[in-house]
Amino acid sequence: MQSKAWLVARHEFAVTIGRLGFRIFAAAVPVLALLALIGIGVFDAVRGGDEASPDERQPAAEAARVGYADLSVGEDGQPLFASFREQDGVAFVPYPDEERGSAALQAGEVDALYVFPRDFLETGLLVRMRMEDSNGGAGNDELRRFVLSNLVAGEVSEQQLQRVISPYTVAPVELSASGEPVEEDDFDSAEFLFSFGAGMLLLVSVLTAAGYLLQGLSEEKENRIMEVLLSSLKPEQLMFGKLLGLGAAGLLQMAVWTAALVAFLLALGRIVDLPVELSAPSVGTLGVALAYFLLGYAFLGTVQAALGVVTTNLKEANNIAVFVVLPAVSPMWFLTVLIEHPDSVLARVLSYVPFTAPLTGLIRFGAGGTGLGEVALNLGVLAAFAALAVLLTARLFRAYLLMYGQRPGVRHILRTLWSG
Amino acid sequence: MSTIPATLPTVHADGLFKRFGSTVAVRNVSLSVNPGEVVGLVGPNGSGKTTTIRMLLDILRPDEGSVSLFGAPVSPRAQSRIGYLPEERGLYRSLRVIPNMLYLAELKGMRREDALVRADDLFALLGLEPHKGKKISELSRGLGQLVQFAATILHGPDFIVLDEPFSGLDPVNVRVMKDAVSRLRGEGAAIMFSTHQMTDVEELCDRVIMIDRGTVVLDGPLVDIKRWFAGNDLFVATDVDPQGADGVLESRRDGAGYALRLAEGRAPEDVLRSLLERGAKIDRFELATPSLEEIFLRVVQRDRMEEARDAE
Repeated sequence: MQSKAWLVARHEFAVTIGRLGFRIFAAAVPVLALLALIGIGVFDAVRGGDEASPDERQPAAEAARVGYADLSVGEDGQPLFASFREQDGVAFVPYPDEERGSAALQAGEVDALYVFPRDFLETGLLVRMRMEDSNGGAGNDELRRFVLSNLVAGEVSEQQLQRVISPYTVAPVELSASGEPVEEDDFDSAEFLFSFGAGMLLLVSVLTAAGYLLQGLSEEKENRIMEVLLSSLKPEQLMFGKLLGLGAAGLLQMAVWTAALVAFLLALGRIVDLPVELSAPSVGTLGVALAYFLLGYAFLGTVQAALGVVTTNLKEANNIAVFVVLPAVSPMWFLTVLIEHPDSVLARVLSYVPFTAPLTGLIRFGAGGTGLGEVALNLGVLAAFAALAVLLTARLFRAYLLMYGQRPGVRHILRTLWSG
Repeated sequence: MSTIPATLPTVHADGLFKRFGSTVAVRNVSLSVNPGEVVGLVGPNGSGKTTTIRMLLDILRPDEGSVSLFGAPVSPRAQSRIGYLPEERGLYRSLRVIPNMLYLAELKGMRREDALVRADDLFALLGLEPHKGKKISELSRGLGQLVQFAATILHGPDFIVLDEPFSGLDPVNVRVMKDAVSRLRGEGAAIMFSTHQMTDVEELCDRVIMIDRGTVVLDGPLVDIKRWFAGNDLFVATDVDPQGADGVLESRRDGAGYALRLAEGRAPEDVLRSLLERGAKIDRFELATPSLEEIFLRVVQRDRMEEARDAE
């Protein structure tokens, strides 16, 4: 029995990965990632290091030298920019007039020249000069700090000066119902990104594989090969073989996508400054993602197989499959809640509903809302539902595989599910 | 092809019943097919032939009765010795010929390497060599049919069920397939052959089983059945119209002579005597053997009449 199911699995796997559609779909993510990487790389090169990579930026900033010619006059009749010439590693080099500053700029002694005119205090207007095709100069933050520091020099304390430059930073505190501050969970952005990404890939892979299962079953019923197959093996062997083979194809697709995305993000991190620090997902996270994939596929794929058996053709099967696909993607509608309140009642409930459990479970796990104990419980419940789905679908396989051109009534299906 | 004791039928069904809801598709069907025998399974559409075949192949379980294959209840091992060509062809249209055949052969327990060797032999036998690299969707209906036939016998089955095997084939390929069937019979395979083409049954089958409304209404060697149904018919080549002769119920022109139906209880000698008394010159006088098609129609009509009578 096992060997025949294995033969079916091998056949289904080979046929599925041989499909042009499967290959295009599987290659789409790596190709898009590569194109995106090339695009970003070209864009970065054109910008010429204005937004240099993190590795390159520090040495460049240390070497930055900008000149300024201070022609301004303060209320006390003195020049405004006499102090604070070192700001965040940018050296502001004074020149007595525009001509000498300009000569230094042309000589390459400075990257840019800022000219503060006589009426700067009244107008706030300053002139930046730099060589053609050059993007040198101080950044906005550095220039702002230089100007502010000089304008209030001697008027305020150093601390007040810091507050003028950077007035405040909000530190959020949430209180529980009892008035106690709620401790923030340790939110690991990289883990969340991986879990969320894995959840999306899982869903697409599972639904793709389940779609192929549905398509294959419908075709076999429509072209009557089912009858030949059933003269060689049992319906259960056919079902297990199909689930196994198409699950393996789905897993392969997910592995290709995951590898492509991880490679993309790692390469991206070397080109641009990412908002989160990337690190390889932990073995635990990988294990949880794999478990959700396998059990999610076992459940959703089996339900799709059941639809393939009780419908008369692929079109009808696809129409009814919406009732599986929609619940499976429905956790996306509650994404904000799942991320911000992964421990909420809604999140917990969705984790136990077999249709929504795979995606919800991975999002919550990534958001740090579930411990391993709860994950294990969720997976256990999902496994139980998957086993039940396999048992019931096997009954449908036995009853309806040879029913061509007519759909059994709902009452008849329920009776078959109940009594076998 | 393995051997089984000659005394044991390859397949034996005993008292099969199958119901679908309130409809009884098959009622109390018993039959057997022996090694080296070609049995024709005939019957009108919806008579229960396909359901019977499915039960013999263990695709469907009977509600009552039993099936034994090779002298034992149906088992996966026994299933691997069956070759089945269903009425509506089933192959993977997007796959090429060889992968299709190898997959089906492997499901029958054949090693891939052995299947490849045997497939080459069959391609040569059936004239399929130029097409073995093509996809099924690229083949004509007839060629697809031949490929399916090749897939059916690739693993060297001992029990072969062919459901309408010649439909869609041109005369050349019909001959190729008939020769292959005869060869398989010679090798000892038991063959059940379901068709509506009575001429094919007459040509190929040793025995005929007729099913009507789920029941076996005829089962026996073809020659015996023909003899049985020949009792009331005569063929006479004569220069006098036999209509009105003693014992003739009905007379109609048939080529160079007349086909006569005898009245109930009358013998051919009565007719011969009457014709001679009328001075007729007689060139041929023989019992007419009805074609299988005529027998089929007669049985079905008789059944329908009995059904109508029962309904009244």
